[in-house]
Amino acid sequence: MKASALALAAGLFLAAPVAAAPAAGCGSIGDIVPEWPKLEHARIEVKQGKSLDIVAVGSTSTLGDAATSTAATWPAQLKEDLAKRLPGISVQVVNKARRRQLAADMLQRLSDDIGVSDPHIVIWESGTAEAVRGVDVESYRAVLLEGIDRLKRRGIDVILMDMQFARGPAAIINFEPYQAAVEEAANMEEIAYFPRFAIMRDWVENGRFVLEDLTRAEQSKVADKVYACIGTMLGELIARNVK
Amino acid sequence: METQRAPMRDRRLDFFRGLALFFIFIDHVPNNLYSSFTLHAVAFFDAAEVFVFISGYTVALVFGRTFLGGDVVFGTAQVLRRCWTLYVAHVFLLIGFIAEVSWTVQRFEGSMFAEEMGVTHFLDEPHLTLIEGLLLRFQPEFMDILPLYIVLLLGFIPFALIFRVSLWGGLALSLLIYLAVPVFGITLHTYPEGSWFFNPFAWQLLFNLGAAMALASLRHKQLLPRPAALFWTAIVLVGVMIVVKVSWLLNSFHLPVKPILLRVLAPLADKTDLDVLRLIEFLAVAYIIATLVAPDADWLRSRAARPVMLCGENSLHIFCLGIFLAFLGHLALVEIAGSIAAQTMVIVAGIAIMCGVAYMMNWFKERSGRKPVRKPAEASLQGTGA
Repeated sequence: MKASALALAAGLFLAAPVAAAPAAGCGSIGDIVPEWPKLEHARIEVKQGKSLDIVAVGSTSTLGDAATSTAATWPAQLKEDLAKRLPGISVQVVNKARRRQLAADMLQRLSDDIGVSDPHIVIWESGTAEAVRGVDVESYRAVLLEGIDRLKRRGIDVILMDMQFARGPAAIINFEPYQAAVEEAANMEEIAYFPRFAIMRDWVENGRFVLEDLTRAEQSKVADKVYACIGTMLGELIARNVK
Repeated sequence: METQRAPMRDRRLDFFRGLALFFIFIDHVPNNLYSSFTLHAVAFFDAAEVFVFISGYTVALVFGRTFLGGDVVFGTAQVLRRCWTLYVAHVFLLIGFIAEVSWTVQRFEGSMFAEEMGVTHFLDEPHLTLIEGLLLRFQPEFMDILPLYIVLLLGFIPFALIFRVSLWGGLALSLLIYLAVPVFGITLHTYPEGSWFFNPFAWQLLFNLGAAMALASLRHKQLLPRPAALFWTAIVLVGVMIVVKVSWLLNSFHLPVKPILLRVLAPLADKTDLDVLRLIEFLAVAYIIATLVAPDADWLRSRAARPVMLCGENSLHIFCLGIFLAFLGHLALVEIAGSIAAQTMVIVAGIAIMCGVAYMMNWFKERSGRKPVRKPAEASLQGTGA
């Protein structure tokens, strides 16, 4: 189990000098990700050559139970990737995700999760718990807007991330309104939006990943690969927008 | 939408309802490319509004005569019989959905989708789920529009009684209930938590507006004035709204005013409570079409329009069929292939099947004598499908 994580890390390490793109096998970012505004606060930090502090807030997929180890979760992968792309900068990515957490709960905990010293970027992943429970879409969007405003006032750059995609879950859960809410909130506030749902759907439809009918062992391997791709894609996007 | 002395079928109803049924089918096949080409891409409203309004109109047209004539008991019985058909279709879908979920959970259990599989926890209490489903309170994906229609149909019974006495009185009551939604937050709850995706207290306004117009036409009255100023206001309004909506769709369309517009307008376009923007834009469009298209326009009788017309004529059954086909289509896209080619095949096959069944139902009616065989110049009142 650990071997696959090591192999993955080794692969990433080898890819590092060539790293202008995400790890091999993830595909390019292409047209799916809309253009991001510059992450101004992070940019200033990076220019001064100090540190880059990121906090990831989210639910089960960010916590990454399904990964083989904590090093294989997407926040951890993001940290590794950014550290390579921004040599000389001390990159920290703190994972504050909790299982099955609603955005409303994340909003309440926001101050605690961020801590006293403000991070430069907060990646806010949400939407799954809301879709599963059929929460009112308008209230969800209002929660997102409120959270974004709070973070902006504290001088923190925000990146919104939506839910995962696989054909089975998407067949029995109505994700669309919640995905739209995340995208709309990002557009309304003119902040960065990482469309994980659309990216994963693109992967599935191009056969890059098979997410169903996997054995236990295969499941963790696939989870690792998916999280690695998410982490490195985010790394490329963030690096691009802080330079 | 007035009737002349001899009752003539308003063919526009059938056509636009048939079209709405196609759009509803397309919109209910999730993750499909073609839903970006339906109404919702360019308008704040979608096929649901079209369907509910026209259904209100047709329900009143079909059953209104009985109620207006005084035979309240028989009218009620007719409406309840319609509700029963819809209810049976809903239960059928319920079984299909439970089967799909049970199968899905096996393939995704204990994986990176553990949280998503939380939606299957109702399987832990199947007896509760079944009862809640039978009570229309269990409304997972696909299962939200049929319960709405059932409740609206049931609601027609008391409203018909009120409309008998006073059309405007009934409309005023309907408007009051609609306004009570944002003020008091009234809605119906689903199991295990949340509320109905289509809030019946809000959507009844659209249904009753259609019903009132139909009842007015039955009494040979025209409910709505037709001054040119109103028409042109509607055109301008709709034009502006289309531009705004399309600008939201295009990611590359960067205007400084765009986020502001989004922030102000998006909360007014919520589907669940039939927010103002949706309602107003739909009514404006309906007004424009009613003014521009005559009830008996020639193109409505063409061969090309015929499949759409027949679907609209048998709308109750085609509606149920469409929802069921969307469910099957989605299953196919999930299990077999999800490519654009596959999506196209599913959409085309679904619409073909809906039209095929509509033709078949029409043939039955003609053969059993319930409907005169169609000659090009004939207008017929039978064969309505409320």
